[in-house]
Amino acid sequence: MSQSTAILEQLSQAVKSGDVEASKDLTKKALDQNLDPLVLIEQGLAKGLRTVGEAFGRGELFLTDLMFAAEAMKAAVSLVEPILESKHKQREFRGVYVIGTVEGDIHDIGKSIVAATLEANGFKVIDLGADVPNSVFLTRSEELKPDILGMSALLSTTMLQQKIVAEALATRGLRKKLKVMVGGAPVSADWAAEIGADAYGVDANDAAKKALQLVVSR
Amino acid sequence: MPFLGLKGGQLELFTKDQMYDFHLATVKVLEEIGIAIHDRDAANILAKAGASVDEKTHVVKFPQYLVDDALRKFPKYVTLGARNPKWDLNLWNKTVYAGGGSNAVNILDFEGKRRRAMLKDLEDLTRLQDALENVHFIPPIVVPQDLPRVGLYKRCLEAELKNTEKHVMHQAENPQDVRDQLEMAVAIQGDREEVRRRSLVSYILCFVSPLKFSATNTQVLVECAKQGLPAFVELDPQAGATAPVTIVGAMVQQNAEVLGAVTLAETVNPGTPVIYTHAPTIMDMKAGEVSEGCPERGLFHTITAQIARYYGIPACCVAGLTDSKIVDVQAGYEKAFQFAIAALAGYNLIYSNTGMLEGCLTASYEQSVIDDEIYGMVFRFMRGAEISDRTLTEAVEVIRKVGPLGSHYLTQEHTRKNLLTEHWIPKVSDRLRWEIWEKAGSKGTKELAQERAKKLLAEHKPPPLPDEVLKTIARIASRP
Repeated sequence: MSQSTAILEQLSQAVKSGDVEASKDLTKKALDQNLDPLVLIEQGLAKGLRTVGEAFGRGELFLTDLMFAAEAMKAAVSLVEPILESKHKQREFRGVYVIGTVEGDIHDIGKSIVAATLEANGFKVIDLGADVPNSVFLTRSEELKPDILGMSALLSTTMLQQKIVAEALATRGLRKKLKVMVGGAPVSADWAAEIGADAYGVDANDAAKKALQLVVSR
Repeated sequence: MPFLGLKGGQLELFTKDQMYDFHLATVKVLEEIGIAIHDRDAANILAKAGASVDEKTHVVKFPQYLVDDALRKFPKYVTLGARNPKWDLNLWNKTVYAGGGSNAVNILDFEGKRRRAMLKDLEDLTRLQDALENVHFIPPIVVPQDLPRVGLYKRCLEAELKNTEKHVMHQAENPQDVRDQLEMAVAIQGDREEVRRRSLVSYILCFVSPLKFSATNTQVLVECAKQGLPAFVELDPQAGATAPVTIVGAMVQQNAEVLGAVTLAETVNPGTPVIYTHAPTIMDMKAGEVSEGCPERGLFHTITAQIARYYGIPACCVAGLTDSKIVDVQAGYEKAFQFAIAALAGYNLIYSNTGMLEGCLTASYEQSVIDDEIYGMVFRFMRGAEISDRTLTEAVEVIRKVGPLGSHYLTQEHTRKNLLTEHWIPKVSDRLRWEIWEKAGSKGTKELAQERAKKLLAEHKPPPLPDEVLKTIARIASRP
């Protein structure tokens, strides 16, 4: 096993076990050894997170395992990003995904789990947080030009915001390039169809699967 | 992960004073009314110790001092051994263990058909219940209908010892059968002293109410006492039929019967490990049948667990029974209700009828797995919640870390560290969302349990016994 294969394996392992400190230390070590930062991420860190994401999908690992792995990956990637920028290199993502919980709804947790699962599946995720004003969804969609906008709602009263945003995006002519996904406890496939959303994820794994289908069919 | 040796006894409905009065009423029954013991040798032993014996009716009346004497003689602490010492049962005060199913003659098979139980079923069910982490000891789960009647219990014991590493709660037909089975235990455990210390086989004796001990049962009990082997003295009063209709009346009679048997065992050989055992029921006066799933059982259980504790005698109850014939909702609620109360009452051993339906006439593979799930839930409750300086400090610290600005605890070390001890992880219960559940085949409990049972049967194999031992126990089992 070459030195770089060995450290890539260790990086993947550190993310898998959700070890934030080890992931950061190994990343520093790999950068010192002049490992290609993109290889470091894709074949090291991201590989580890993918493995955890798949195992969670099969019911073999716990949600905490997934979230810890995502945390470890995020911490390590933040060390690599400045180097990527200085070298004018960019990570290759399966797609860019803007996500948030709708206006008037402060429920954050489901959305955060979906975000972690999307990251595990190779998406660049921009998390707008919870209680995101409708106007922010619109402006961020225009600025960031994501492939997918995902909106979460836990309350039967706030799910209406999903409809309002989806319609406003259409009015502004943004829906040609932008796919819209919805999710949350009261949301259903029927509701998604009714408001003209492109997909509905019943849970985090399903959301990631649907998101991948959307970017492939693009 | 399995949690062994959990503490029950959280549920106490009666005061110590009430227990004392209850005891006195029992003593009165033994002294003034007595028990018919249909074995002359046993009656003579008791007569020599001070009991009065009516030669014609066989009724033995126990003076108070004789009963009090026995209450001082039985061991307060008993270890029931297992092939794998990890599964040894240490009967401390209020330590609770659950056990397998009991003597079914039918099998409800995977297709839902009821058929006669065979030797293969005894082997498979023993192996399946060996694999269940919340089942801690194994009784004879079925009585195979394809075995010859002669030497039946020995042959069953052979099948059980081959298929479990846990303690085997067994039964014997007569004193010679006890000695033969003891020989089988010695073959596995190596020497007689080890069996004395932690016998991997124990013997359950069911006496019939009201107030009469048959010759065979009495002889087996006396033999266990002579050999110093652990004996479960079981009484099964049916309130309204073979015992008084009231909860208290039935339990006073049962207590007199158990104390009578205990007094006999301790008079024969002081220090005999006896376990206070019962399977009380009510007679359902509409059906004309005993009800195994009745709620009154919860009251029988709380009284009995408390009186056994009052005496300091290890106790065992038969629980987890249902009147249902199939793997259904009634089976679920009756079993869960009974098991939870028995565990919280604090029995050392819950002979919990894992997998049993229709009282204990029919055994089911699926129900075995579901029962394990029920025990897991109850055990989680019993493990309780720790309020201490440590847990409170850690709680405040992690709340501070996330605080009003954070959004979740999923990536806190506190979460990772405590998850598996704080949260119970179900094995068959469904917690999926509708769409996911639908996609997974819209499976109900029975189907999920069947999948798990089949998987465990395919995968689980307890370590085999050495060839020499196998030969020896086979030779003893086939002895006429």
